[in-house]
Amino acid sequence: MNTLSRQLIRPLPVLGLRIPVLALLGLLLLFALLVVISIGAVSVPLSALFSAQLSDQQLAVISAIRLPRVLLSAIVGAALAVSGAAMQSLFRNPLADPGVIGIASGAALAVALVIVLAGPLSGVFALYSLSFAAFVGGLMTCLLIFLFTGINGSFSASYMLLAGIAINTLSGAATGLLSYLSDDQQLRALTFWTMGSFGGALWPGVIVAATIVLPALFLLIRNARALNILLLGNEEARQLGVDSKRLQRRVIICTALCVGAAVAVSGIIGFVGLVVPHLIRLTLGPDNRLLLPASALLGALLVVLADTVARTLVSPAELPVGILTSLIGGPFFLWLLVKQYGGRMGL
Amino acid sequence: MITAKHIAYGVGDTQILDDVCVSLKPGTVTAILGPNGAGKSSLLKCLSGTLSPCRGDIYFNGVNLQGYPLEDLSRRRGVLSQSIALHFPFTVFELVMMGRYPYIDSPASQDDKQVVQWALESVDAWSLKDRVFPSLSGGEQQRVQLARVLGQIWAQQQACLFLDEPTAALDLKYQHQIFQLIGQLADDYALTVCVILHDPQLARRYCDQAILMQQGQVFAAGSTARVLAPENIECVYEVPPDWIGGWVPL
Repeated sequence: MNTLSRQLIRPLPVLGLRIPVLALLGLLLLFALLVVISIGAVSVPLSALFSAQLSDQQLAVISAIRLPRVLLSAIVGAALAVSGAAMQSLFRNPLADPGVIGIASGAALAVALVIVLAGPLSGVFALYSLSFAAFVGGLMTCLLIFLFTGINGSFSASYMLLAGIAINTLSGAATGLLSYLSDDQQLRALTFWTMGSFGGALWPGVIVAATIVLPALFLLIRNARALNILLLGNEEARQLGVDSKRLQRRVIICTALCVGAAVAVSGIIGFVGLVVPHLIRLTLGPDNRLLLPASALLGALLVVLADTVARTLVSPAELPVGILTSLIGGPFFLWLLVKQYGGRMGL
Repeated sequence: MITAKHIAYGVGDTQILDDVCVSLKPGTVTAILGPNGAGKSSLLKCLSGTLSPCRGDIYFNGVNLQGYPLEDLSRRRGVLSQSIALHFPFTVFELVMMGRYPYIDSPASQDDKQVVQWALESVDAWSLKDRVFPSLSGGEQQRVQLARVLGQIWAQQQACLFLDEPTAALDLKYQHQIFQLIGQLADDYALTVCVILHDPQLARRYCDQAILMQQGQVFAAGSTARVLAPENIECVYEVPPDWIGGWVPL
């Protein structure tokens, strides 16, 4: 029995509060976006932002640098958090995460392949080829896992999880081998990419990410009720009229799209998919109808804030945001683990 | 009304069900009994459409189950599996509301809330409605899951109810109460009820029909009193006669 279930009674009949809660989170996100846009090396006071009295320099900084960066971090945060929440429902396991089934490591492997084998690349073309590679890598991994579980026919969660672990190990080893073969400069590029950053955010990246992530998020949130039913089990879901195989397929493809796009534009940003849904579940309960949209908003909010900290803490240099989220997320995950399984293992 | 004609089911080389023909009638409670591994759960799962038999056909109200649309079936047929693990902190009310999935567009309408209340009251679990499901005891969980399945087919005519050991975790009082409830529902709504259980006493008392299984085949089927005659039990379970028939004085 885990902590979540050790609470006997949940404090609020939350679903009735769905609209106000989401509105509140949305307002918070909007406010954070505005504040964050005003922070940086070139100062843009909020008052100037609101009265639209900006110098040319300020305007240029905002439209070309800060706005795409802030929007991209929001999209990536939402994508990762919702993917995490959806995976947890899919696997019926509150500890599942897109990283766990190997999507992120598959993407990393593809990027390593491009960096090490494609020779020196430069400029915008480099950025695009890396993004594209990450995307293809993530999607291939997902299809591979899907294929494996399809052979087995049962789409059982443990089978998928074990296949994911195997693929994780394999692509980790392959990436390691490539790092071993690479020269100093390639190694540096590889290392920085796996740390995750929004440093290179440009409008095309924002548009590509948005066009992939937003429809996928919409589709996932639309299936929230069916995902609740899926938590009872595959057979039980079918008995209640949910075509569980089709739903699982849909969720896998949508999360692959989200994670692939996120990894493609920002590298590996860990733990968002795990921590955000947990925070929502602890405070608002496990109902996916609230969990998925709330995770999207909170994920966006947290990654936007984390990225702001990452780019201002050691300014003018930058901290990779992936390191920051892992620094915060790692201990949180451990705390969760001890709290959830501590009682069971007698710790 | 459910009719199974010559169904067979197996996994790999293992034959689990072999040429089984049964018929379940509306308004009756049919018990499935048999030793462990006799194929009771597989038969129940085939009849409820959860598993597809390798051979043979099953007819649900005269229509072949194979082509029956999932949504229609979900309003006509409730299934309670043996154990359902749920690791997420849904409340009892939310869980039973999931049984209304075939009917509602979110948010839940007043009618559905009423059905959830009735279903929970019928298994004496309304007082648990705000509790978090995984924190309940085994017996409480079983009653709440039963309420979810009852809510799923509440007030539907000609519906079917499949229960796999619904009283396994229940105390003596609830065992009898639940069977009385099931019998009442079968009478009131012409419900076809099929239930796996292990206690011949309960079966004799509350079930109209019985199917006794042995090694994937039907050993005997028909009225409970005849099927569960001591010589049948003795033969199928391979137990001495003095183990059958209730209390053995110490």
